[in-house]
Amino acid sequence: MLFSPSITRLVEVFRRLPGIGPKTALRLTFFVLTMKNEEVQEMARALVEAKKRVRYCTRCRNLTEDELCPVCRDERRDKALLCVVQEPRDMMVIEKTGQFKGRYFILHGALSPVEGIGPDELMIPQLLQLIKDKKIEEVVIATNPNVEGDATAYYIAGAAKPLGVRVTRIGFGLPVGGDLEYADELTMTRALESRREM
Amino acid sequence: MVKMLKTRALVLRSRPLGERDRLLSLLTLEQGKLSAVAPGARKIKSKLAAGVDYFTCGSFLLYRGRSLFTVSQLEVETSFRNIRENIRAYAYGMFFAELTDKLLQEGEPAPEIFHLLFNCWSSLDENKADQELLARFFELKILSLLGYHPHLKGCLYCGSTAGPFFWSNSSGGIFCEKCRPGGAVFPFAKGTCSLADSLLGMAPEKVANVRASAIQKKELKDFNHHFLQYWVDVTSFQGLSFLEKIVNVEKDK
Repeated sequence: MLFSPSITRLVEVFRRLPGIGPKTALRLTFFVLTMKNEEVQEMARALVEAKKRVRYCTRCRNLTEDELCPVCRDERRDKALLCVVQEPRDMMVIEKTGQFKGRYFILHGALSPVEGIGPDELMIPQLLQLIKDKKIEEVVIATNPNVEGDATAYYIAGAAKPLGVRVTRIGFGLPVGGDLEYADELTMTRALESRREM
Repeated sequence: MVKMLKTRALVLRSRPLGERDRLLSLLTLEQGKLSAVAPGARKIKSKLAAGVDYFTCGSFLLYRGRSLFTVSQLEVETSFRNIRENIRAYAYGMFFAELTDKLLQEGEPAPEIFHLLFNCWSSLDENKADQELLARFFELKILSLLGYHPHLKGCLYCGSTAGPFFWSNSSGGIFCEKCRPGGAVFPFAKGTCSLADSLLGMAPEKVANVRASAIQKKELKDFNHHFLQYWVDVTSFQGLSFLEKIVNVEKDK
């Protein structure tokens, strides 16, 4: 064996992380071995504590250490406005804009027959119950603009509309800074459909 | 070996690869199924993004790498937009793609299967045919095109056309009551047997004209899955269990 069992084990552990191949795993392993003892212990503690403490917000399924996440605890938020996103990262992107003042619901995925993800795995029944219980007036669907995101959006819209709630979807169009000549037909079609008065 | 390949292709599978790429399973018209990487396709400004999603038929320019092809350019021909807006059509369309992806081997040209999938997706998109019958048609046709054509025109032994019939997986055909062999046989009513036989000889656009009772549809579904199970592990098809979930949710409403 080229390396000691401890090094091999650490390389294997790093390789389990997304986007980490064998070379990067080896580079990270050697970097960890050059770190100070206290730094390594702090890193290990941070990993264990985050895993132990972080859980889903009981209301919106955001990641939090308390029963409710900071967004759900914030009383200044518009309680009648709910944005549905696929991942916590998507919520962060929307929050960065500072334009959305409502609350969120995080699906942690999209409907995918290939991956075996159905409505129950995404907690869609829980979302519908939330819409009913909290008297939501508008649901803004912000799933990804791809086949799985579209199917999820239409499924939620179909299930939520009978509850008497307004269902909207974020706009589609051309990315800021892009050139029109490189736009594909589908994006352009959607951009034309969602054009607005000036 | 040709480095560049320009071909019409259908996207059978598209999954994230690393931070910004997508790994595709394509059904090409000329070279059958192949795997390709679409570099940067997950970035919001990617020129490839709209063409590397499920339910896309496009003209692809690919170049051959050491183990995979890489998508260099593409032009979307059609993206079957209505399928993604209807959850049942989406579930059936994904099932067709999954079945094709799992049954085909890489690098074996299958232009008939390309046209079959294209036509069935078109039919779902236009929402003309009964989706359940279209799925049965697709299952029977793809098995037939792959060389597992079932014999449904009368008893394999005596040629009798009087039902009921009994299907035998190992013989690949039906038997009448008198000639039925021992071992595992699947009972098959005459009407359902004729329905399966007519579906096998039909063009995809004609499925819209076919009518069948709920009992026939159930029997045909059980037969198809019994037949499929003999060649491939049907339980591994996520698309089937997803369809069941969607149908059950709709029933509960």
